[in-house]
Amino acid sequence: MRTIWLMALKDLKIVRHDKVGLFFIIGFPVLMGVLFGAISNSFSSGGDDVHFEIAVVDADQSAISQRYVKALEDSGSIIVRPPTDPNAAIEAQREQAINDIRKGDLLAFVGLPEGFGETAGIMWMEGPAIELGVDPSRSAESGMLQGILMQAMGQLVGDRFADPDSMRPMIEQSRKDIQENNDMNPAARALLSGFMGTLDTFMGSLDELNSGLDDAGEKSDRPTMQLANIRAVDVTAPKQENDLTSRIHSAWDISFPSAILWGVLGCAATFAVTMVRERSQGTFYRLRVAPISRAQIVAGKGLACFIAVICVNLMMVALGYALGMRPNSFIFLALAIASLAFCVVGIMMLMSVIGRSEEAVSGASWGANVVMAMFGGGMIPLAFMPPFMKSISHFSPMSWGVLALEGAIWRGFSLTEMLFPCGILIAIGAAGIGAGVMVLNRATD
Amino acid sequence: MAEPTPRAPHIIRVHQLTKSFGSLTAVSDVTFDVQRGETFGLLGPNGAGKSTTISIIVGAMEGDGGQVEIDGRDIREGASVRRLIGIAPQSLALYDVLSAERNLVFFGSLYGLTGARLSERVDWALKFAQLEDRRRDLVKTFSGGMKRRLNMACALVHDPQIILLDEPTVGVDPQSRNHIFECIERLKDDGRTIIYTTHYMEEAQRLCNRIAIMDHGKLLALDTLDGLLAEFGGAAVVTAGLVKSPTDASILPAALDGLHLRFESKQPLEEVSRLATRGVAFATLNVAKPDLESVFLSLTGRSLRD
Repeated sequence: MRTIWLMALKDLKIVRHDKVGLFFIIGFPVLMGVLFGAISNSFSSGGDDVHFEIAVVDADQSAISQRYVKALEDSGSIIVRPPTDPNAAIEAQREQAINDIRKGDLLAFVGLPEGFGETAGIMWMEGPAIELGVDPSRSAESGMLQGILMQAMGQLVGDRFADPDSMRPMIEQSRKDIQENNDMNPAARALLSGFMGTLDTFMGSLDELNSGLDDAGEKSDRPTMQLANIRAVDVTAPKQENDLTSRIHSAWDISFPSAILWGVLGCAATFAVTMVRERSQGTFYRLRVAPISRAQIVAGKGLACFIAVICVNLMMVALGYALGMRPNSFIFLALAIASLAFCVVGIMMLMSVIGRSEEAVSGASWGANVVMAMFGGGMIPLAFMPPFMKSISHFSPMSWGVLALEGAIWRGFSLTEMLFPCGILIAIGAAGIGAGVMVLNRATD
Repeated sequence: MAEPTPRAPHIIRVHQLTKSFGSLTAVSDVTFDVQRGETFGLLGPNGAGKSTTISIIVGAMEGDGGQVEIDGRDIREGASVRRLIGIAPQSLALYDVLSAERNLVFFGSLYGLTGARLSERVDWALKFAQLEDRRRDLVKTFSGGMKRRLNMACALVHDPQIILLDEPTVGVDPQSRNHIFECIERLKDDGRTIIYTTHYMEEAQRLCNRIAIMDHGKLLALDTLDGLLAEFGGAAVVTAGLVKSPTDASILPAALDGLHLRFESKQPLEEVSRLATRGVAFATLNVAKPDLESVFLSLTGRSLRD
């Protein structure tokens, strides 16, 4: 056993120096897992995380204009980028915002003119002219942004009615203007004066209503002024009790078994190359002359590959766990990982004898890897494969590996159910080791 | 009290060894013994069958027929026999991405060395290869000569009794070659048995007690250097320029070409001395004694370097 351990340790040290091999063993699967997991997460979140980053050039600097900006931020879809230099002139701020849009740093800018606060949110007065400059390449988002601007303006209307005192000077000024306007038709003057009087009385009533409620200033159940009361309705299909995907805790549950697959295939290819390199660099000759058996040489190689696969699996499980993957059973996961590692040793042994040069073995190994990954769940998760691909996938050893991992992570397999894919993996591993050793013996005698 | 069993004088016995690769006969009915403490040369051109013979002796390859005994035991008997042998293959057999020290530790460990003994032997091997100051450097950063020396050191790290050096000076600079020669001479002085294959006759002449000449898988001759020269070397060639033609031309062993004389003799110095006493004055004199090149030429009809 000491000799086998020596051999394995030496191979692990050698692989540590193989930067390309290490990338495919560690870097690539991590990238795959994180990338596909992140993509799946963004799909499953339904676009809740969509944000538009805009700049607001506020020339008014009034309480109302600032309330409008806050309403935009409170929409949940807008991030208002503060000006680089808040003390800069308004024109300079506007120029800066336009430049940022040109460079693609911002989606849009919103310009609030002087006097914005005097009329904004007052329905009977002409609304302020809000400037809106949008990145022309993102016209699809422009419509949505305009909707959010209107929504925030609606919020201002509500705020005006919630704060009648801010409206009363405007009403008084309007009544005075009406009275002093000699050009106005007397009938129209009487009508408008009456409306303003009624509005003033209405504001007084609102004032009384508001002052009698919620002194703490917290949100109460009282009716508020809203342009529309919109209630979100979930239109997605309800999940069935027997729906397999209902057991998936997070997107990482799906992406990580597939990513692990790439890692273990990386191990198979890398260690297969070390085997043929041993022959091409002459060290295999020295090993055969040494007082160790050929079985020990092969076992040492296999052990190194086995350890590497276990390490890759543990690393990926730890990373997945940190990101949110929650295996159903760690014991079953250990069983799946051990079986998969044994299978990979067999595949490695076979790969190591399919060519006589490092280039041939490396090329053929990765060719075989891509096919195995394609039908084994490395590119499309098994759970989402169309039926014909699922049928073909049974011929890929890796599909059984992914099934065993998924069985332990989210499929909720029983022990009996686990033994089936694990048994197949061990059988494939044994067959691979047997065939590989046989060919190796024939090739080196 | 029982008398201890006397050890056989030979430590390696190769008997009627044969090996073919398809239609090519690489080794054909080769038989020889190597004595304890002897440096035994296997001389022949590339493709003569030297490396195949070595590979069968060390157990890296199975022969089609014949026997190999190491210290009275079949090489296939296992680990205890293999521990007696250290080999430096013709192709470098080193892990490029490991350091010199790690290579030595690994190969030493394979032969069962551990702990202080392993450290001691690794230090010895690094000193032997003059790589003490580069012990932690990766082998891939070494020059060809350094790699050759480390290749030899890996063969010696487990302190073997029998050392097989397969073309150890191929592709090395003169300085490293001299160092390798000195190392081999130290091993000889230390009483190790060495089998040395080469196609450089100078190396065989300098290092080997006995030399076996191989070509096309066959052992053509086996003897000491003097024995081979005496049997297959032929006569020495004497070329001389005379000051003037002798009055009696019949005293000359060959006809003159102007003032130039060329003749062959098994005892060239005696012949030159005889001519001098008869009044022949030499302006120039060159005696070309037979060497392994002429032995090989005599045995195969072609040059060793062809």
